[in-house]
Amino acid sequence: MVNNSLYSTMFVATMPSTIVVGGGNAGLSCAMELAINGIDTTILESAPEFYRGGNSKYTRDIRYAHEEDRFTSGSYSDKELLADLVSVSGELPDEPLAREVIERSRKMPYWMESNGILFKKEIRGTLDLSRTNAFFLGGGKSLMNTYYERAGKLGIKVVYNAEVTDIKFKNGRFDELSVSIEGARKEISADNLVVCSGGFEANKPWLSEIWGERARNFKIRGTRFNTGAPLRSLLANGIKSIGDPMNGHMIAVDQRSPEFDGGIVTRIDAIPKGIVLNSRCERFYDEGEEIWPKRYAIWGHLLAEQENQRAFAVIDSKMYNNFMPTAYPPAASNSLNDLAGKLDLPKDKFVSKVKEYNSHVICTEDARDHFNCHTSGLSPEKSHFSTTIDVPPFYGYPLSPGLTFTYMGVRIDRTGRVVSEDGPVENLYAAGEIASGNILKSGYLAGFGLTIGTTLGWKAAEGIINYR
Amino acid sequence: MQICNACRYCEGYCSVWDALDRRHDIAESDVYYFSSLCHDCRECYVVCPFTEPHEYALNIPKILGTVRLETYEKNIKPDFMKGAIRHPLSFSSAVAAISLVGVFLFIFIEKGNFSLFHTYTLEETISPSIYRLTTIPIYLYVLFLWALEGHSYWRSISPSSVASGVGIRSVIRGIYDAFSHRNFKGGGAGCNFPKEKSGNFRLIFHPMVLFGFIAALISISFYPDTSPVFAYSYLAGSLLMFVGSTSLILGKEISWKIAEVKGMTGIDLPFSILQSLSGITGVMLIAFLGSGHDWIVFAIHDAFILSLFLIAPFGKFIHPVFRILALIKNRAESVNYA
Repeated sequence: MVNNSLYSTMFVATMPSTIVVGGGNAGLSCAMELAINGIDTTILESAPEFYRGGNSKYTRDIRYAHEEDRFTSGSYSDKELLADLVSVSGELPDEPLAREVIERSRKMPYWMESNGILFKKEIRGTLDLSRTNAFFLGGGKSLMNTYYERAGKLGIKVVYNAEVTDIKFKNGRFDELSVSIEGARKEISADNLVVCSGGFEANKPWLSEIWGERARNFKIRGTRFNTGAPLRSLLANGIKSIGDPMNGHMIAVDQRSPEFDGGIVTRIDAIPKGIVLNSRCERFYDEGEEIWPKRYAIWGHLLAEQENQRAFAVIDSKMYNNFMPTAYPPAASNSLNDLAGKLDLPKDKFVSKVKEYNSHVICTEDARDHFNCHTSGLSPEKSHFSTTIDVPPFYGYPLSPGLTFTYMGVRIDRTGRVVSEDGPVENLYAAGEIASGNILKSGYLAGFGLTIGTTLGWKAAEGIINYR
Repeated sequence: MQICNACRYCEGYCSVWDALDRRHDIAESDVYYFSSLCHDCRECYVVCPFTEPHEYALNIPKILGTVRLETYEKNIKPDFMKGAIRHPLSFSSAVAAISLVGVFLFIFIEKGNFSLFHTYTLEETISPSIYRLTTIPIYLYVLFLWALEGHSYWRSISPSSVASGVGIRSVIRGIYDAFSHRNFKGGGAGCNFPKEKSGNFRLIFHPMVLFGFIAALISISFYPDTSPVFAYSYLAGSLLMFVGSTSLILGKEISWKIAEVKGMTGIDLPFSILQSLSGITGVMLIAFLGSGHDWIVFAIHDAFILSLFLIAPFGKFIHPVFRILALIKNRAESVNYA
């Protein structure tokens, strides 16, 4: 999509009125709204074309407030969505802004359809989200392909392999960008800047500053291009940060996952159906704690605190078909002793731990999911889904922490502008993951990341359109 | 495909993903089954975040295409004909050449003083009784081998429970899916054959070949009745076959090579070329009907049709059998699953 003529028109002939940094869902939602309103818009995407779209390419659904509609199985009020948000986040950083996001979310599926997105008609998936969330056909890469195609038709310029290394200010306003485009350094200025560059989860040195040695064993589920360089530059230039740097969406993934871009496929859903032992064959948390919607992400942080950031989920054949299949096959054996060997765990201790667990299981119900089955007399107890591990073959999944995204971002005000120590910056906006800390402090609501990105993207676009 | 099973974002594009959704683990037999549910629209490739250069390097349409070819070869009956699928072009050319020579030799022997400049009526060339005496055994030959091959394929995709859950409803719905090209719409997303975002290219031309062939087959069964209703329906059928198959051949030529399986193109081409030749000679036959020399076109046309039937059990022409069986299985599963 980038050719030399585009290159020269961009850097010599015209000065783009608005630059959007980061070509994920938030960046495209903002750029498309800008272009529809006749604003000259350029997207700087740090990834090459194949990897474009940041973490948006690993999404598949949106959570939005709605009456009964054709995208979902029932209505979901503003109030209920706000309550769900509070239940994962605790106190909200900026409740009026959160309410605005929710109110704006009502338009989302229609706006998406008008830009070429197709929604699934029937939802069968494994997630119990058919009422609150709408699923689009093909998942996030399809979403991004469609938006990029639309962006091209709207005349938006897209520059791939464009890494923003510095964001410069003059007289309290955004002035110009230092950008490395396929290795060549350029200074670019524009009237407005919208930063939609996501978190910094793919920046291992930065993670090590926060997590120390532990970060080495993190798998990055998200895109390898979210290095957080624009975020770092903003913070260095006196922009106010928001969100705990240690906070991130981190779940249990397979130890064999790739270093980056594992996406959805590396996650392990087996945990509530069995037990989790660390390298010393100790249990360390209630595996049966109700996992949806908020506790799903607790396991990444738990694993990060274990020796070598690893542990093992163990189940037996009774439970094998009761969770989502995994990309990597589990270690399997007809004997617990042999399974311990395959997982490289001390055999005697492993077998005695499983037997100890089995002897404390109280499970009288016949229900297929064994929801109320629990243990008694163990530390920690297992509160739900406790069934004995005694029917071979036995299975073991090696677990690592899988970081999806980080929470720390920049503070924005209620006009969508980024806030510095001296107040809001007139021509600088942020949307998407980098601004999500303004909506929720911690936790995660499935499908709400796209909602935050799209609605704040629109908000930034409106700010620019109304201000000129 | 185990990676796909952990992802399932492609659910909604075609029956492959419905079938995958019903499974926790994937056996070899399942992949044989999926291979004929896939019609190579490549939408799942386009939207997959795990294709090359990602280290998973997934390419599902290519994998399923490769396996599909393997199922053709594995299930060909009798076994000694497997070579036909490995050398499709020489095999088909040989059959076509022999058919051409055979048909003219037959006319020559029958007529004695044979000359291309003679005028004969169609009935003098190939009498209705000879026509039936040859076509019926050929149809039976094709149906018999298709049945053996279909049986063999069915066993390979349903190794444990050969007929479980297949009711008359799933048979009807499976056949309906095949003829309606239900899956070709990609859940509304269209198709990427021959190129990305080609929309309905195959949805237009594949039904032309299918229904053209059927229309021609039915109208020729009334031979030697060449009254307008049969002549025109034959003309229409042949024309559809010609336009459809020629377009598919051209589509294949310009096709996006990303998912191409060379061996599959190898068996596609001779089949489509014979379809195309049968179509155009069928059109010419009707055009020259009653001219006195129409018998020459008729003879050539018959030779192409004969070759098409002769190679049917040993090449691309077994795909409708396997596809319909896979679609029936899909319907049977979805009934039992719900």
